[in-house]
Amino acid sequence: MNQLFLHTSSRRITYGDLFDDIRDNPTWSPIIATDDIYETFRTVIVSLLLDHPVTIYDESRSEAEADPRMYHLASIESMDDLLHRIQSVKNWRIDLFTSGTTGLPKRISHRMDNLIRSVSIDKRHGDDVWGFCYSARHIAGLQVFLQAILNGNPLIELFKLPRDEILSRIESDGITHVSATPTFYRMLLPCDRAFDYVRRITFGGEKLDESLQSSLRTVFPNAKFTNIYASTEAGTILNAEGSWFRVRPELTGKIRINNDELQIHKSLMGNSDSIELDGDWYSSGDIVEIDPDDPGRFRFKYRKNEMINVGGFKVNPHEVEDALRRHPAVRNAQVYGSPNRITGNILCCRIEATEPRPSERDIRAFLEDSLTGYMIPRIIDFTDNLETTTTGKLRRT
Amino acid sequence: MNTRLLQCINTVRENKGLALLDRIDRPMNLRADIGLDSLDLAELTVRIEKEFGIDVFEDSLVSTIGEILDKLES
Repeated sequence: MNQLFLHTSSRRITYGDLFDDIRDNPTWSPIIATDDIYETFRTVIVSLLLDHPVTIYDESRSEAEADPRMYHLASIESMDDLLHRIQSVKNWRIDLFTSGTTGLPKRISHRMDNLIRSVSIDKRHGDDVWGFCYSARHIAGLQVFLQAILNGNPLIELFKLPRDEILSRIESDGITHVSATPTFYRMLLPCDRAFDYVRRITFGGEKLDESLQSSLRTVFPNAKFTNIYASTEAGTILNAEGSWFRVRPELTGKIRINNDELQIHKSLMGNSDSIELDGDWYSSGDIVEIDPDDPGRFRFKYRKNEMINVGGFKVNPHEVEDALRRHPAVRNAQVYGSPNRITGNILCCRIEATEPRPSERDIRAFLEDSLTGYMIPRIIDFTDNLETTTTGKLRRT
Repeated sequence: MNTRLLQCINTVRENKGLALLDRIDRPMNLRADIGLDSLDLAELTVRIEKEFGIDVFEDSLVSTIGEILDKLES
């Protein structure tokens, strides 16, 4: 019970502290509308123990208010007792909202089996220490949280911390597992340190490029790299070692590619009135390419609504960003279209560069080797920090 | 006005690896004489708007230096 549960920027809370708090302060709210990560986790655990539905409103929904009430619960006797009670829920579900980056936020309701589809509960995970790099109010954060508590592991909050602090916490708290967006990992580079006790690096939420993986190899030399494809609507669907995915045998027939778009069978989806189905299938909006040498595997190319029309040509911003990141002085880049009367859109980019900063001409000349003319950004701005969304992804506006 | 416009044009030319111009004259055609294509013109409108706060292509297409100067002066 002295095992660490959560280390935030201001507090260290053990599993014993958590159990005492749940026993001694019997109030909770089935509506979560707080920035406090501990409060969020505690409420989710109480909802599980009560087997009562809970709703999480994210940062963008300021109208949401907590609905405090009392509860009666038998004390938690041990970790085993907690785990047993959590895993035997019947009525429990959690309602969350999509981040709304691709339209209006949708309310999605998940049951436990959908959320823990990718969670692994095993004695060999007993010593894992998780770096927590997502918002606690979105699905990726909840999945990391469940993976950690179902194995009795500590969670170390890293989300939105400055780079140097993240690196020192990985060391001081002995973090062994990190799950984060590619944008999060890019922020750590360049890095001349190596963390050889980190065993697992997981990527999710954004398209992963190979140059990022190879740069991180030297920082986490002993880690296994896993790339996850997940969404708020469906939870975790696919995982892979690099950027090429295969459908796991148990999901055969439930995931298909239709006109290059990944489609997910409705049986894998959370419940929602706002999910539109095409027959029994949900169109993800993610466009993939099948490996011509091995038709069993595929990788993601872009999201349907992200293509930018420049003078009649469709530009995939990810392809341009990947090319920009191959420039030695470019740490991260974001490509977007700005409306223009002559070409419909003009391609623009913001770049986080190392010093000495390259010139616009340098960047353009570098891109000319790998991209055709209309794919080269015409307006290049330099910035110290690219903006990210509440879910830790690069903001695309 | 003329010098600031020349600077905008030269930035576009420099970015595409063309030599800088010493001067621009009203009759010069943006495509034939200055050597700009549609993508360059799109870039030029953004640079002119940053410099002068005016979208010179707002109501019609312009094709000469003189037409840009007219828009900027009006």
